Order: sequence, then structure tokens, then C-alpha cells
Amino acid sequence: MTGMIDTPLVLENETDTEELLATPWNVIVHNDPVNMMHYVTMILMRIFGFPQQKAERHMMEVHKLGKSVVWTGEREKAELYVQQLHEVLLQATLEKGS
Amino acid sequence: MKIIRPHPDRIELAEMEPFLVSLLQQLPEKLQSDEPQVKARLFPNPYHDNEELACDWREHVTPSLAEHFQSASEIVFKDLQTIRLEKAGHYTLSIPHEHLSAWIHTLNQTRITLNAIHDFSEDEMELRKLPGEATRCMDLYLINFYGAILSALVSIAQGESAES
Repeated sequence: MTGMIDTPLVLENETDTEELLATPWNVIVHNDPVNMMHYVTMILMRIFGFPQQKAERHMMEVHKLGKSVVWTGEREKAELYVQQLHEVLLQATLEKGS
Repeated sequence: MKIIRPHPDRIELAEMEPFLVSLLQQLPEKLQSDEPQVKARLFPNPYHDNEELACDWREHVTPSLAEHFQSASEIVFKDLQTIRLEKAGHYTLSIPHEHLSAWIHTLNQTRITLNAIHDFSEDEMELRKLPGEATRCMDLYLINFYGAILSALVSIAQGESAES
């Protein structure tokens, strides 16, 4: 009985993990009242390798709309980007993409 | 006060009056805070809808962030001890170029910490309205003073990014 219950549970967890890894994740930068606009632009250029114009576009989106999706992709890499953003004190979160 | 780059290896905060030196020397004190709202801002949770992943993050990433912040502030605090008196009661601080990132980080962290403590309104941040209470007023002044230095240092770093 125990074995019969355990097996599907393990499979279910594995499926969950696969889904979690396969789903694209969004890296979102949020507005905050302290970080300076040219600082945010510089950080986005450095971390994501954006050209200045693209970095400024995201920075303005953050400033005007409150947030901007700056990158979408696999979770591990998205986490690494968020960690780098937190290291430089930008507010960033991760959300499952659609 | 002038922010100059007399040599590629260093940046100088020169011709500082004693009052401005005293503001700089407040950095270590102003950076320290155990307020929960400060911790929440410096170590934010990137997963709002998944407690398990948030827990992993707190366990594995938050300690390395804390170490990173501390190593930057230690560099800055050591530099602060090297402020020297120049002519006519003015002071100079030389910042080695390799400390530029640490300075940018620590000035920014201090501004963020002060704002997290006081939760300044947009009008206050833009200096359209001054806070009534003296400590809030002084800390808002510090946010702006550190911001002026930070802005100059970011411009230097940005110029280098554009060159490379």
C-alpha cells in the first residue's frame, strides 16, 4: 500500500520540478524612490550587456510604470541576474512567465 | 567641495569644509540599522508567490549579499580614516580607483537605509516639502549630500563603461 502511494507522489514531484525548470521566468526590476536614473541605466548595461538606449528604455519604464521585465529565460539564470541586481541594491523579483 | 580626478588611479573629494567632513564621517553610523524595514529593503524576497523558493533564497543568497555589503563598507570606512587637512582648513579625501565600486555601493546603501527608516514622501525627496522633525530633516539632507557625491562617482564609472 505504502509503495503504491509513494510512487505516484514521487512522479508528481518530478513533474512539478520539470515544469518549474521548463517554464520561462521573468526578471522584473521595480521602481524605488532612491536609486538614481543614471545609476539604474549603468547597472542594466553592466549586468545584461544592454546598449545604452535599451537600458534607458527599461529604466524609464521602471520610473514611469513602476516596473519593467528586463529578462526572460530559465530559472537558474534568472536567479543569478536577480542576485546581481540585489547586490547593487536594485529591487528585483522573479515571476513565472506566461 | 570639488570632486576631481587628478590621476587615473584616484578620485579626490577636495576642498571640503569641516562640516562636510563631519557628514562623510557619519556614514558608518548611518549605515547601521536593525530596523525590519531596512532589512526587508536590503535583502528583498524575489519570490512573492512561492515560499519554498523564498526560503531557499534566504538560506543561500542572503548571507552572501550581507558579506558583499560588508566588504564594500569596510573599504569605505578605512578610506574615511585617511581624510587629510590641506591648506586653509580644507580637507581632502583620496579614493583609490579600485575602491570606486565600494564607494558607489556604500553611499547608495546608506541613502536606501535612511529612506527605509524614514519613508520619505516623493515631495520630501524632491525637496518640495521639508520634514518638520529635526532628525528626519537632517537625514534627508544626508540623502541629498551623499546623492551628490554618488552622482559624480556614477558619472565617472559610466564614462569608463562607455570607453571600454
